[in-house]
Amino acid sequence: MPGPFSRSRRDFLRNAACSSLAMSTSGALMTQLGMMNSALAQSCGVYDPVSDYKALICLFLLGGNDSWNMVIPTDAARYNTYYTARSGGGTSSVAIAAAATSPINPSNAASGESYAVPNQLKGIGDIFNAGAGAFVLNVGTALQQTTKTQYSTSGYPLPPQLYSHSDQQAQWAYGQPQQNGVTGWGGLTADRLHVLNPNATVPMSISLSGQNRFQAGLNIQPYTMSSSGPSGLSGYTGTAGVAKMNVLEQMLAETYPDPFTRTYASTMTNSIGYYQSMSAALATAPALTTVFPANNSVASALAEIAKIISVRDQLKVNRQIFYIGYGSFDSHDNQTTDQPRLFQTISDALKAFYDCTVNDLKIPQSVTTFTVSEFARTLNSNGDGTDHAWAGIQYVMGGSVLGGRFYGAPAVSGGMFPNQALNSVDCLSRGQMIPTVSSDQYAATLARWLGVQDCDIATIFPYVKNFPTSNLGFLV
Amino acid sequence: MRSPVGWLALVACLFFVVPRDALAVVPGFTSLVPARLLDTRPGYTTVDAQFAGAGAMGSGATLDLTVKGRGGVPSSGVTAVVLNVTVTNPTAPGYITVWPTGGTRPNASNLNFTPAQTISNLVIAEVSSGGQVSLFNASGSTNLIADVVGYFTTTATFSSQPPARILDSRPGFTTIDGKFAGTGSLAAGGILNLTVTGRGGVPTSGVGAVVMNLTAVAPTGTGYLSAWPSGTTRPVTSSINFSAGQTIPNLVISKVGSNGQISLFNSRGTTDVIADVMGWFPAQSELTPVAPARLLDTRAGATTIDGQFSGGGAIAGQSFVDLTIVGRGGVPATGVGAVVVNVTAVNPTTPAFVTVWPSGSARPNASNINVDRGQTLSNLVIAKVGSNGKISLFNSAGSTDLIGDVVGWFPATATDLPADDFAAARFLTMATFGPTQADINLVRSIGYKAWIAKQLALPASLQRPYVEALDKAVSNPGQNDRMEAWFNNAITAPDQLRQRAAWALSQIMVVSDQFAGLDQDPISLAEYYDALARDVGGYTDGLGVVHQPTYYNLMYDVTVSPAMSHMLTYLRNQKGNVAKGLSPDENYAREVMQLFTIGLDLLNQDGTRKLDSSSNPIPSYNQGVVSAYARVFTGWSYSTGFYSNPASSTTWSVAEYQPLICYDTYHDFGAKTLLSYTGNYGTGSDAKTLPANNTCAVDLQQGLAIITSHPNVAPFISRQLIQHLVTSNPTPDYVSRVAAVFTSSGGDLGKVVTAILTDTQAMTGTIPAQYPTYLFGKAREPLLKLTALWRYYGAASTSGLYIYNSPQSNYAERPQGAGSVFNYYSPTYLPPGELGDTGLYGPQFQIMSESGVVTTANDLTNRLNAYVGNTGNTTTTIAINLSYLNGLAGNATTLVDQINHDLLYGKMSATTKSYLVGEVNSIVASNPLGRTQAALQLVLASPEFAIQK
Repeated sequence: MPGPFSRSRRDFLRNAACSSLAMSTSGALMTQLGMMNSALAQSCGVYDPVSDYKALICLFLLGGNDSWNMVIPTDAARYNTYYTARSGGGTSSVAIAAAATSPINPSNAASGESYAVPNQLKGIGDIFNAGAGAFVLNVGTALQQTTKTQYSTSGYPLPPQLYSHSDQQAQWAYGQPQQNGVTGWGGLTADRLHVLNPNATVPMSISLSGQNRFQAGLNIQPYTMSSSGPSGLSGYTGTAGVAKMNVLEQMLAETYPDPFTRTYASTMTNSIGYYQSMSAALATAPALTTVFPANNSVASALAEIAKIISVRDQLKVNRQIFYIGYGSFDSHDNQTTDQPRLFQTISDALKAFYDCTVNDLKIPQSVTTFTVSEFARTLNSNGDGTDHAWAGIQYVMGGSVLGGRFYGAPAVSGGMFPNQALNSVDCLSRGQMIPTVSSDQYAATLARWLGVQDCDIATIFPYVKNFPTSNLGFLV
Repeated sequence: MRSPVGWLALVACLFFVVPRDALAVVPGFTSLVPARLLDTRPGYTTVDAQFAGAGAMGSGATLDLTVKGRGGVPSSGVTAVVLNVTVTNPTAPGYITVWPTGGTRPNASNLNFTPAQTISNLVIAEVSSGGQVSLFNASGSTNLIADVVGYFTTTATFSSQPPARILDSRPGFTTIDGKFAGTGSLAAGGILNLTVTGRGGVPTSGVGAVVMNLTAVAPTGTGYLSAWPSGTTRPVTSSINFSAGQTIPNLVISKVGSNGQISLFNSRGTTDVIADVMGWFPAQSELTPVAPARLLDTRAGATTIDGQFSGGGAIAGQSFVDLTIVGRGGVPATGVGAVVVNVTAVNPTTPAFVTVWPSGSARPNASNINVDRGQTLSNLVIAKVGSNGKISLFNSAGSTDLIGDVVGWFPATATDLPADDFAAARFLTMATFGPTQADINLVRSIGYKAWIAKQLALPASLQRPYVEALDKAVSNPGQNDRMEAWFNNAITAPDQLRQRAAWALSQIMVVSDQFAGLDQDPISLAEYYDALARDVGGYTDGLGVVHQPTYYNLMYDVTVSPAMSHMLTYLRNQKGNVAKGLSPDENYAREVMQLFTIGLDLLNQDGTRKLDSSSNPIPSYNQGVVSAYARVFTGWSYSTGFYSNPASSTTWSVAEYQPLICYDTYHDFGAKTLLSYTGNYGTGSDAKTLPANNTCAVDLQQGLAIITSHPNVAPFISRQLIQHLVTSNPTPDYVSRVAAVFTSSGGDLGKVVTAILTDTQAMTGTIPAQYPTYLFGKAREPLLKLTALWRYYGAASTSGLYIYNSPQSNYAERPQGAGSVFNYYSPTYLPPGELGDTGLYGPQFQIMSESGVVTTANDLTNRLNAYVGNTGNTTTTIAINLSYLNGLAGNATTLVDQINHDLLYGKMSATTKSYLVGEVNSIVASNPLGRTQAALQLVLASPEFAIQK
């Protein structure tokens, strides 16, 4: 039963009075965020009501996933190139042995090319082969199309702070390779699409992994809960507890003179209200028959998301954006020990979740799951691991994915899959790949699928116009 | 009956007191140039001619001496005065007793004498509310002289009390509790360990030093008694000097040993000993006791602790010696206001007196020791120190040798005293893991700067010995031991400022037990944390080597630590191998610059980013610099061998925490092009370089020096420390003031933290007018909400342990347990919504999500059920003491006011207060615990507690 804190849609919108704060600040302390944000806040589209359901699930592989070990060319010549680049053969090798891979069959592979995934990823490889999964190749942050020659040319526009975890995570999340800003493209998408959830009792965005840039909007902020469910206050039950809750609500409803105190008050207020909505809805969730792997935090998060999707009608949501962060993928050492474990974890979890969307939720076409990672890693080894690099491979999964094929753009060397020889025309001396498609093209494809209109795509992803398309085509 | 002076003693074992009088903005102790307040001898005068020349006191007479408003003693707020009392020309054996006027005269003595003797003793006397002390002459008639040398006020942490006898060795005599009575005389060379804590009004814990009158009774030879803290080496100092057959007292102020005892040593003959305790100082107080150290000994061939002021020969009549006090014998070089010295006159050639006063000022009409020819006599002296750091000692006649043994010091009179408890508690919220009443009292007594100086003078409380002791005893060391050590230090360590700064540093140069290689190595992590705590302000190691507090030294210690080498994977990092296609690991090379020292972009000294001609930030380094530094950091591994692995789950090795060493075989000896301080890596680059064939160790030293000398370091680190301690959005002027101190001190983090906490922005919470006032403040770290609760309300378990193994579940913070080297939150986190939209940082909000604020509030609520007296407690329950609050709970306003004082340093809004008072009143008064818990639960979850401003 809704309590005093049940949310109405209007509550998801921040009070417009906040903008006056931006006007009153001054000096070097403040960035130009206010002005930039006002540009980002404008929606050019008109969003008509919808009755269908769509969810985007972002699986952020934190730390920089060495994704050049996710898809391995297995035809002899190119495997040898791969093996050599990855310091294969010695104790320092970071190459996956050919014998430890499972083939995948991309329908758009060139003649004579063959590919495989490491055995730990066989689960998502099977989904790929079944047509519900796709790999996007050589995707990275970029302001415009960039070749190796251009990269080496002084003054050529490059994303700021390449190779820095924090900056590259922020840029992937932002939807533009810039150093500033506070929002993410998931949040900016929710800012526009929340009108499609007119009677929702929870925000469009839900995080299973705490605060994150991806879901930060200007008007719509995510609700953060844990894989074991939403967290509610204890110590406020019974007659005495209700009295205390009344006092707490009074304190939270006060107008405080500074934004720090107000921010805490609004977070606690949201927490209390959304907990009521979410826990009431989840109480009605049907049992899932899908068995999610145990001791797998990604699977636990995805299982919780499946439960939330199963009560989408109670929550009155038509569009949702979920976030899971998982890592560390920052395999500077012990890569051959850590990477198989990480791969197995995500593959098992994704496979179970896809099965759940088919067998329990029965709406696989409405749920698209995608990976993000701030960068891939050097192809060569640093002794027992790899270092920060640039473009890599991402995986997309769902009933609306035009799966079983690769997406991307031709590299300088000719094919969509780049030349992995160290210092080839496609990469730097340690095998740091130059992206052929941008992270923003990838993200824009996902946002469009959820319903963002073209003109808003151009606003949210201001640099995507520098590329041939804002739609890589992997979703229908 | 204890007096108001000892107001803390009223609640000796409690942590709870009502807020003190807000008007008393005066230091706890003030030393004075000696001033004569009483002289009964006809024809003699005093500082103001009052109490002068009235003639000898008769037998059984009492004299009420006004001390307030005289000789530098203020007219109000004084609780005790320090007097040197002298009798001269007594007609019969007797004694003098001093006590607060109007009170009952205690059965005790301050000064014993025989006929015709002139003798002095120092007295710390409580003052009546009317500003008087009474002096009683037991028998015969005698002239009496009293010189004031200092006074205590209501803000003092010192607790004085009527004398209580805690030792009387004479057979047939007894003591206050029957212990240490009739033990028999002390033989030559004998040592008696006297328990002083938990006796005669001295509490069982928290005592730093005691004040007692020690009397040698009927000694058989000529010798001396020494008093010193038990458990430490007996110093070559004396506390009383006596001659055969002489019964003589002296005031002794002695540091207490860790076992609560003071040791007494008799040098010669046998003697009975009496000890009357008259007061105590808490562990952290205005007095800093030191192990007794001889600073002066004029006797030929004698020596002192440092060889200075020794063997200079007897002091002639009408001359004086200027004795350097500061910077000697444990007394710091700066910040000293007064010293406590036991002065002994040895073998005077004629009756004379000795006067001690601050060097550089006129010798006052006063005396400290009065001696007869050939007599060796001591008296305790509390003397103000001259501006040159010296005291003067004057001999009136003949010649005499002089000895001076320092036993403690008082800080210089503070000019930066908190206005009230609230101001002190607000400061302590920034500087510690949460205010305690004891720390509030101390800051109010000695001021902010003196408190900081005392803190930095304390040695770092360490985790590694704690963990090591536990881990040696078990075959499977675990992180729980380390977590226990962390909470133990956070809640109980006296060096709170070092601990708090180390906590901040541990979030800047992050190592974490969430990483392979460290998850099973708590000793390595504990040592790392200890290094951070030590490097705040520097330290002297076990070999007596002084480690200078420079940022370079900190980064060096970090770099050669096994913990960091695991965290950022340069343990066993090797030079590249082109044939094998291998490159050195770039992990540390990148993060040491990005996170620990200079950051991504060139900075101005005020912390703002430098911009190029196109208004773009200028990167501090590029990938080439990272690759070059990766080559610098090659060749380092455990001291037990490059490929050794001393850490395992079943064995234990010192190599797990000892500094790494370098193995040339694996080091890259090529020349390296490193940082450009101007960011110019193109044509005409001014990048710093390292030559080829540096040794491995020199490469590291020079490479780190190039990083730590970068102009970015001062603003980059200063700004983050400000954010951790004071405010999330420091204005550029604040950053530049701190950065200037950082630069001028070579990155002395003690000085940097001092600058941060004493900056007017921190002190006042106000910022320059061009910025909106709401800019100041920060979210309280979630875990520090718990430590604030635990510290103020004296949380402890009966086992003595602080077991809380997984704080991250409820507080999203685990000491040395972050998910990555990027910490639990980023210093540049812009919370989505109102804060982020206006460009305001709110680092801690990154872990204050909807689920985070609830889990934190829930744990704090649960902790309120762990209170002293709950029958459900186990030996490991960390129980808070709510008895004081419960005692106030009958009046809702009083209860809420007290919690406002305890947790919110008085900043609770009237509205919040009215809500809370209403809630308390809704619970029946017969349920005080319910009232207390309800009020605390709501305060701990409240918006006002969540933010510190």
